[in-house]
Amino acid sequence: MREDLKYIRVGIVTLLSVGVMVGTTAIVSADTASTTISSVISPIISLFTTSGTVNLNITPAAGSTKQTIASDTVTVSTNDSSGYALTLQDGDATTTLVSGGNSIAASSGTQTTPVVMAANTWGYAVQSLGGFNGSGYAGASSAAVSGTLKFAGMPASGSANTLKSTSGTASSDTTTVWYAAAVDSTQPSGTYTDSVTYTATTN
Amino acid sequence: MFGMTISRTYKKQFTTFLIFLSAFGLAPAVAHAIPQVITITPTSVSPVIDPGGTYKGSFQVLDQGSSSYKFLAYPTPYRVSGEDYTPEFTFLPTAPDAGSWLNFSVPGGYIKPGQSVTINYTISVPQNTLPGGYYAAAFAETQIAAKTNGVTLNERVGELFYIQVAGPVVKKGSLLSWSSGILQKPPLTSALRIQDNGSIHFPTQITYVIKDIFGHPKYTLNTDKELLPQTIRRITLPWNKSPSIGLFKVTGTVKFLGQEKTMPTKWVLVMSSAVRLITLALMLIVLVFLVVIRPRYLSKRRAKEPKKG
Repeated sequence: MREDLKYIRVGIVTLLSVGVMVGTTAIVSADTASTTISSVISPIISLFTTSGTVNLNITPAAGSTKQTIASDTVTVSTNDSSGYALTLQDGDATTTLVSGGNSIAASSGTQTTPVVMAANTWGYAVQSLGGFNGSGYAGASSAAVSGTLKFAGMPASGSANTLKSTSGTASSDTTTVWYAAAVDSTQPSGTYTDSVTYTATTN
Repeated sequence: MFGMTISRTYKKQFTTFLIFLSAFGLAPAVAHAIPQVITITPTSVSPVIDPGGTYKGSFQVLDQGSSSYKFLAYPTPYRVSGEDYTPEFTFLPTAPDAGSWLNFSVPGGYIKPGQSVTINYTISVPQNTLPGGYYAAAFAETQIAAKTNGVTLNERVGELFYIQVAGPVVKKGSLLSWSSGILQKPPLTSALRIQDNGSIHFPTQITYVIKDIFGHPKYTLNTDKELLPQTIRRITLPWNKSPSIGLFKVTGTVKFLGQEKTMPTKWVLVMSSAVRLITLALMLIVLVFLVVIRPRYLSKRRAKEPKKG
């Protein structure tokens, strides 16, 4: 009799356990619903420069040419997997630094064939790009003209030069652009200005 | 945005939130209070429009810097020159000016930090335009007041428009070459040349993989490039963080126009200038030892040995 009761108890417990498991499964499956979560990350491209303006102040000296060099850093970010192209050009068709009726001409060099700064010219350089020097660019103020550092003239609007072309996404990718002006004492004093435009588009 | 049921208002807010989130995530330098950051989204669009038809869309300009600024929004034509695809945004007299097909709702605006300005546009394709690809760009450009001296630096970012005027077009392209020099200085660089000799643009998906001699991947790049009709595009694939020395296998795939091409594996030995100098110096030392020092040593040794017989 005791043995029978034991078997009955074990049987009830087993049945209840199975029932609970099946029931739980039923409840769980009743509560489960699939939800598709998708997220569209918009492609962006952004650009900023460190300064907004580069000052090339020079104090000339009689009988010699003085050069001032200053830099600007352009930063580009994009999550577009095609990468980006960064170009530089003058803000208009006039590539000289202008002060009223006076001007400082753009360097005769090009990005492919840059030249050492001549008196009363200005230009730009990006280290290791095209024909520019692989090293040596550094800030200078009214110093003697470097006989080795090469610069290019600013291209006119519509004829931009490519500073960088990348493949893949970029996060705060920087490019340092060096600007320089060299003048002798024949250059009339004044405040000389020009504007340039950096352009970033996906590649 | 989500498959779940979310009201349109929330969707719009969430989209804006995502754009800002992704944009801020990409520009950590913004946290250091960069005064003026200009961002545009999306970065490109590829509409198909019937001759005489119109297409409406919009783009957003975002200020992720710490100061407000004025900006100009304007369209230009877009084309490329050379195999390196130098972008040009000027009118070519021999081609239709697709930039003139774009009309913006506003010519620019004033934007505050953390805000965005949406610019709606309409593309109106002239009635008799032939089917094919036409290209334009929409720019947002900061307007920095010219300073009293020095060079004023303006910033502009653009969205590219790959417009297909509907009708019969020829889609045709080929992989011209795949190169990777066997001995290189860092960065290890490979190049592809792909040709579009049809009448319409097409996208390419490139996967570029560099493995070490044991077959372990060291660098993988996935990039998409658009090919413009009647052009050859040279795509340079640099591994900017390649080491000073190493032997690697480079390979990859290119997908375009329903084709998938596998780039045959190439072996590349990377040696920087310094490593080359050191290797050369070591080789010289070994050479000197073998040609000068060792024969002298051997002859001295022979001289010291007692003569037989």
